[in-house]
Amino acid sequence: MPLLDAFIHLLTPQAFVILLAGVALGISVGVLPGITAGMLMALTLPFTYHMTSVNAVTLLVAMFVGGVSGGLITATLMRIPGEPNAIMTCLDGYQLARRGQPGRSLGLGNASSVVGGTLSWGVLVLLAPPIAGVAVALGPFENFAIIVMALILISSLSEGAFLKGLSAGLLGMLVSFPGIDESSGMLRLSFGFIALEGGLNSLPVILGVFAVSQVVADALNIEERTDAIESTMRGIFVSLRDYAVHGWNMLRSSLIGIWIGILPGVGATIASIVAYTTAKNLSRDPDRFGHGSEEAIVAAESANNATTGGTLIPLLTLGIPGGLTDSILLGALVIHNLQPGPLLFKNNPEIVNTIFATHLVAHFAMFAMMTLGITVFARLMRLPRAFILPMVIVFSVLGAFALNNRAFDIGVMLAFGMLGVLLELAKVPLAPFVVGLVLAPVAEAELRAGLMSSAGSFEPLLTRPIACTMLLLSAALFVWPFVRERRRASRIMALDQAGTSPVNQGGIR
Amino acid sequence: MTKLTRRTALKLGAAAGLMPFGLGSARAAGYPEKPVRTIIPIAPGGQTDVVLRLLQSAIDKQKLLPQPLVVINNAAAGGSAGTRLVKDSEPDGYTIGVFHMGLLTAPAMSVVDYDHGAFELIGQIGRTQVGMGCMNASRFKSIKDVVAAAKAKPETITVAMNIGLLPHFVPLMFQQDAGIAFRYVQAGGGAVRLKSLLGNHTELSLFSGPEFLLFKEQGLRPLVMFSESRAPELPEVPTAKEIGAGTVFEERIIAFAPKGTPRGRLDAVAAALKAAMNDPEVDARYKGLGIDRVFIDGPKLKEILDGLRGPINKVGDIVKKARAEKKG
Repeated sequence: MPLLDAFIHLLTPQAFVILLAGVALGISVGVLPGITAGMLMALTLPFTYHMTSVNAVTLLVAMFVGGVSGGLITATLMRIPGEPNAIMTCLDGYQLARRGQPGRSLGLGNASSVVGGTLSWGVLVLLAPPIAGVAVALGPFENFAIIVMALILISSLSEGAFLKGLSAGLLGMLVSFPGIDESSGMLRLSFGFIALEGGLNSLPVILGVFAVSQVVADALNIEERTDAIESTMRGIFVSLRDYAVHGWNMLRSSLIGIWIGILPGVGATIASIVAYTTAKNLSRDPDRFGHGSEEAIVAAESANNATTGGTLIPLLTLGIPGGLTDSILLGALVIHNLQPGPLLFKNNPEIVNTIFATHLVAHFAMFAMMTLGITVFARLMRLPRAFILPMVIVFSVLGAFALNNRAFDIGVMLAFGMLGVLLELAKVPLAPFVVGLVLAPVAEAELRAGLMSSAGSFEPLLTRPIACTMLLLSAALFVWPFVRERRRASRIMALDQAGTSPVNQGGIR
Repeated sequence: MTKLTRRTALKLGAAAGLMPFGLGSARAAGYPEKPVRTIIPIAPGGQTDVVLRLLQSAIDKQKLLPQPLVVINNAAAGGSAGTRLVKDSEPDGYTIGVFHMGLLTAPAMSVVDYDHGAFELIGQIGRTQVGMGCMNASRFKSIKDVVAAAKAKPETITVAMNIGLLPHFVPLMFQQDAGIAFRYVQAGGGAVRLKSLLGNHTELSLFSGPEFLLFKEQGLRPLVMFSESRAPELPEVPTAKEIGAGTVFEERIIAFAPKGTPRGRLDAVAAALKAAMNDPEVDARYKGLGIDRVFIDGPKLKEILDGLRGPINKVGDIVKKARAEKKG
């Protein structure tokens, strides 16, 4: 059993220390916004030249796993997406923590992360070669149809106010437009400002809309909040009953995450968005979403961790990385003279097995470390807001700057902080804004690539079976909330009619 | 102040005597006295970034410069934010940049209005050969098949590209030279273009020599290389010259500095980079990455790059014309 050997090797002192260090570093950059796991891995790459290839791979995969997970902490406690994939966790995790249950909020997220990661590990180990073909078979038109499906789900995030939700979604899309048009290489909507040529990066925008706007809103009524919220640390350890209650959601969201992880270039952020909206659409309690729903946290965190196993599939079997972190892993393999692709499994099974084993053990190490970390960090919620708010601003400014080393991005963040305050005042939901911002560029790039290959014809959207099915599904999803509303309304009416009469009768008697 | 500088210079000179290639530092009289900010206009992890970090750590380890290079990634605006930052920095030798041929293609895409001419060139610190290829299962068996098919049905053969960069420009140059026309589909970096070929979404694409070796097992096959002569690691692949289309183009990693940076300081950095490239470990890593370890000094590199302006602008005009047609 070579895989067993890899596990045993991982538990030898040196390998284990490397793994723990990788996970710990990954979590710490995950906590900090702007400094992504990709950056950490790129900076670490030169140090791995001197390691054996097994150790190098262990370190990098551990960082990768830690980085995906750490974002949960800042998202929940400060409404800062420490990693872009924690955006959806900002929505509900923060609200639940704010309502006095930071321990519960973090605990649920952590438990979901480890479940998502473990499930994706299973798929990675058992199904990697057969699934790999799927990753390349889906072309621009199929990818576009999948993104459209996610975009359509915006309508279900609108919390009743459909028009407001739609405008927020469109506003998010608009914000993603300025800069260099990735499909034609031309500048657009930069209005002659050199700084705008780089576009409005989504991280500073999101930091502004979520974190800065929250700080401003809190600072405005800081007096009212001097009585620290009674917050409980309970719930850090998730009970078996919780796993039973949330089991189906965890499984479903993990499958979504794995599936999206396999598609190169789509990524963990989009996975958590899709899992979140799907959970909301299927929930018995959809109105809770956005106000501290446990289901929401579970969906977002299972899905983003589940992408880790998914993205490793095309990377290992075809040598195709899905995103920045994978390309660095690819770079590390190449520099150690290992060629990812069909032959890697035959020629270097020890490397493949090390990656498999590290992926799983790192998830358990991450779970242990996060549990420890959470018990410490959750207490932050007990500090008076006056101490927390400056920290949030400092983190946000550092994060916005660190992304591209540009002061302009700090300005972008502050400006969008103000916009966020306005949106909140107007009761415009933030979720559709974020979804529009993140999905529009991907949808645009895929559609335009498809049109370039078909010389401008939209026909393949209807003639390619997967693309067509996805579009039909999107149409169904678009209509579903209206149908559900209708049915609920008529059911309530029916209940009212059925229910009122006995009461009335009771009243008469 | 002068005294201090001279003393530092003396110390450096003494140190230089102990080290090979340290002479450059002494020539620049005390430079650098503080870390040298090295802007790289791409995200961490790419080939150019990896090369720079290799050299940076060798310079640091062997103390080839008295102060380290500090690498700063600024990937905004497809690289133009980073190059602009270098262009607008003080020409004091404390800000330099490292980029690839995107430095020359950006103005042809009208993203910026300057090319390498707006900088002092420090030197070329790496080079890779590029060529076009398809999958083994493709209907094309040789580059002649491609040319024949393209002549029969113009603008039907799809080429996966990365807009504004070499995978876009080099096929355009080749189609000019061969008198044919392709249909271009935006994809992205090397792995994304491979995915596009693998999934049969496009037929051809440009890859570097090392990428052809790396993706061989996945079924990627080079059809033509755009080098002067056949590449030693791909001896069976003809060059464009051999089939009568004279396209010659290579990817180069270029170190540059703001216009007006003193010659002595440029030389000091160039000497350190050149020495770092001779480090045996750097050599091994270059080999692993498949990058030619050829250093070319600033003036010579300028000559080469100036010569490429013509073909690049010609292609740029085609792109601009196509855009104008679309608008009109």
